Amino acid sequence: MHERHDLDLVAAFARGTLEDPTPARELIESCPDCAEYYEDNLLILEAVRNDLTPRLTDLERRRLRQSIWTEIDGSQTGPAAERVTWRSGAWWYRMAGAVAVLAAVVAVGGVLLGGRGGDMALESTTAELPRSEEETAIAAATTAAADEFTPMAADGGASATTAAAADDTEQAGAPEEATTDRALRAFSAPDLPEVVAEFLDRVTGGEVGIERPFACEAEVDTEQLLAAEAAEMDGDRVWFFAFGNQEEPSVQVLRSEDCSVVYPNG
Amino acid sequence: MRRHEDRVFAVCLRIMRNRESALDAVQETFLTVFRKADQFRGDSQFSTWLYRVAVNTCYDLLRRMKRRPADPLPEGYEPPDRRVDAALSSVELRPGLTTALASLSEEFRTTLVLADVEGLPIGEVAEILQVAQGTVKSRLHRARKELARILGNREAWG
Repeated sequence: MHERHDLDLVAAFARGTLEDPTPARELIESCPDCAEYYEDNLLILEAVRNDLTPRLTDLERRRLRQSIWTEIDGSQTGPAAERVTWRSGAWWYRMAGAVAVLAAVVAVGGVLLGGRGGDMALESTTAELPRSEEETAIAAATTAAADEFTPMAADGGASATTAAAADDTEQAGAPEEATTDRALRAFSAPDLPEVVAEFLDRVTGGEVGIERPFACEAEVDTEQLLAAEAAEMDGDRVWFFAFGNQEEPSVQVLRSEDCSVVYPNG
Repeated sequence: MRRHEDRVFAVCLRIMRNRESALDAVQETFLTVFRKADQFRGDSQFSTWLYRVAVNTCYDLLRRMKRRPADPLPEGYEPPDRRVDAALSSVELRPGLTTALASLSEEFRTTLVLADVEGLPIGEVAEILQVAQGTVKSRLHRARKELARILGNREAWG
């Protein structure tokens, strides 16, 4: 293929992404190698279109989540100093074990009460239990992590049992649950980057809206505002803001008290 | 994790070419992400970082597998279909995308999977693979030629 030819142009033409396709069309008509590359691209695009995207089966998904949970949980309680080190820096690792214990207690309770199937809602199960201050903080701070890393049983039956416990908890008239606890996610300053990452993840997934009223409104570009969420960092109220487009938002975290920028400058 | 696990799995499966190995890679990827969450600075998209971890994890696993040729094959291991070569001589039998991708080198396969299958822009692929954009373009062009040759069951051009 002739090196002076713009192969990117040819590839873009094949994908139909050019605003003005005339130069690409002329290039393809005048250059056999380019025409061949164009055909190559069409062939690949057709193959991609016809190809089924690989997906996890339900069983694989359950096992995967369970194994990740087990690894995280096992490493946390295990004697290996190395593992204690890597997880000791992350807030949800420190809290995950406690959440798992709470979930297990509720699951056993559900079995004893005779439950039925349904989706597991860890927030609901934890809401049913009497809480110490620490447990309350754990539940609030790990809502997202627990949602992602719900310990799943290796077989569907056990999962259903656990889920039944959650259902029963709700039917038993569990109090307000997540809505009151969610409001303030508590974390410490060293964990800010990962909390920001998690916030970004939820924003791009369209899971976070704008909590109103939010602090520091004068400091915030409300036209570009995508999401606003309160949290608590080392006991201080902070606000997470996401701006721009949902695919690639930017994040700013402001301290509520004086509107100072905690992230990205913090 | 729920949001990303299928896409990470798809990428890993296409790089690893084996379901069990891909599942191992996905598990290791998410564990790494949780272990190293504090290293994510938010200056790139989270998904870009996640893909980078996934690709590096796959490469690591492939290297480990190569270093241990005497190890028993994982359960469910599907060896590359040797009939692919024979199929190339027949216009009637064209391999599917997965089989054709499996015939590419790791570098080409990964680049092509990220750019053409996952549809990521060149800049993001470069960031994931931690190479220059020119390198990505070069790999991509050569990978496309090679893949098209396999898919189209044509002779390679000079």
